[in-house]
Amino acid sequence: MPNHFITGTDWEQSSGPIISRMVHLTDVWPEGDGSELPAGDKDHLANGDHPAFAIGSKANRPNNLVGVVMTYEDDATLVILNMADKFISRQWVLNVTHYNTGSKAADGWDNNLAPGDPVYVDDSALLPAGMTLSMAPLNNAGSPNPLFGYIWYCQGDYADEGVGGKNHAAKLPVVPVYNTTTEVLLCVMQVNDSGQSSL
Amino acid sequence: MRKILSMLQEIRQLQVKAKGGMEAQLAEVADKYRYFDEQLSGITPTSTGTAIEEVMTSADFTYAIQEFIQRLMIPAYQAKRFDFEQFMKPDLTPNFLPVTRYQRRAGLDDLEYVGEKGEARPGSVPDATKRQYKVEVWEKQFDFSMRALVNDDLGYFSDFATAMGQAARASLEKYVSRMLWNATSLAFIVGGGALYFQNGRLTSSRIAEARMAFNQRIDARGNPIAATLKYLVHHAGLVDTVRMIRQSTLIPELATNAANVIAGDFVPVEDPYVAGIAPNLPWYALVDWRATGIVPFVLARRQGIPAPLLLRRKSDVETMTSLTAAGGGVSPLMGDFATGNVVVKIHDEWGTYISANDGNVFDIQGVYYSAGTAA
Repeated sequence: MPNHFITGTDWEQSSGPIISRMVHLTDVWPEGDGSELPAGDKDHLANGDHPAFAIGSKANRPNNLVGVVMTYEDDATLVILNMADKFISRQWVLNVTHYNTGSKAADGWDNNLAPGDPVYVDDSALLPAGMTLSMAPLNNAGSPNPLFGYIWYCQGDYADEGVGGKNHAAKLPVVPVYNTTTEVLLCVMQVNDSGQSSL
Repeated sequence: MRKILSMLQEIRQLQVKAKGGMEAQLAEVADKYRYFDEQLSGITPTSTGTAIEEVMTSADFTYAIQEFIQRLMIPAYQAKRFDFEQFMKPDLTPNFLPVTRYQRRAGLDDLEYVGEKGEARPGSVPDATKRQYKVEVWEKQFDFSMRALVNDDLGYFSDFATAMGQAARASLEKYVSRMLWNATSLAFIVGGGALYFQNGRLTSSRIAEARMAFNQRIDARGNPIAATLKYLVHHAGLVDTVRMIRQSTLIPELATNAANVIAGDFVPVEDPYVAGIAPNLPWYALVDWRATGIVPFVLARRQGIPAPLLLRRKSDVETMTSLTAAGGGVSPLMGDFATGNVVVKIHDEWGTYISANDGNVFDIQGVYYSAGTAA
């Protein structure tokens, strides 16, 4: 359970690439008051947080750029994002793949979170505070979610026993309790093409 | 000043007394000196107290005094060491390609009786045992923003290079520990039979059993080989058990007066990384490869890389005074031109024998293992 945008020093899971771009806080979502549907907020961004956001008007969805926050200057409410394609960061992801638009409740789940599974920026209310990503291409209002990227291996997730490493088996796929809404800390490789190109 | 006045008062009173002065004169001297004292100290007969009063307290200075911040680093944890060098055979490889090592692990045929005019039968020579291994690269990179390093007024990163070296050492120690305790290595040893493993918890009797197991080892021809228990690698929770075994004249776990014959005959090595929950704590017995020629495990490094390398990406920034003049160097703290990132990396290279069947056991004749699960 995150409760807060991801923070700490191990959010960065690839050495690059880094393409640094600055936007105003109002340009990113879901963040702040009223950032989730139908109400509520995911969290308020602070310097040191590294959530995944979509950028630009929600009217453009799902064709929004995406990025991961590197730094935030709260005096000017300016956000520095890494918008590089194929950058990998550690993020909280909800395993929900579909919502009932009437009840807003989940009615589809990814029960086998595997490398290459698409991950979306999701402003649905079911995502708890601190969480901006899910496996759902549509939010709980039926609007398309921007593609953020794909589940990928974290640095220490590979099965490396064959060369004397510590892992007997890869840590992916993650298999949550069957058809149960589960918050999972995963590494996600971001893309900025709305899924138009393959991996 | 008040002390001097007090001394003058005493001197004068002694003088008056020596000249036969009356009590009234002595009292008068005391009164006068008290007057001096009061004038000098500011304490007058109308004062409310008898001492100097504090008029400005710490709380009166909200910013200058009360806003107190002291930030200090205190010494970090001291990491445990796994002194594996004593039982691990080192080797060097010229590059990253697999190297091959061969070892003669059995002698020639026994001689046989030949009768008169008889002909000697031809002998056979056992093939060498072949082992191949290679070194791999082990690294970890750290990225810092230039501002984070500049803002480090605590010196939190001042010993970061030392910490990088320690991380490399700890990674290597864990690698070696996995060589001993990984499931494939243990399954291979267990497959060797009773002379190679047991499940008993560590006692002096069981160390003796391990030693006697080594003493019965034979080569591929069935000839006894000189395998002698030398090192006892054990879980961190067995340190006192080992001490007791080593310091007892009699076998500590038996209520008899049987002599503890193994007390000083082995070298204990604590492995701080091996897992185990008391009382089921594992242990390992190993031979000394230097004395026996039996190599239990091998650790290879590449020639020229005897220790980890601490690397930093060279800054692509320089100072300038004009567009055409040569530039000047800047502090490495400036990081890269684009974002001010300071990037450092630990690089090390090591490897060992890895087999799908043997695990990392280079020669099973050099090892004896116990899961430590049986009482």
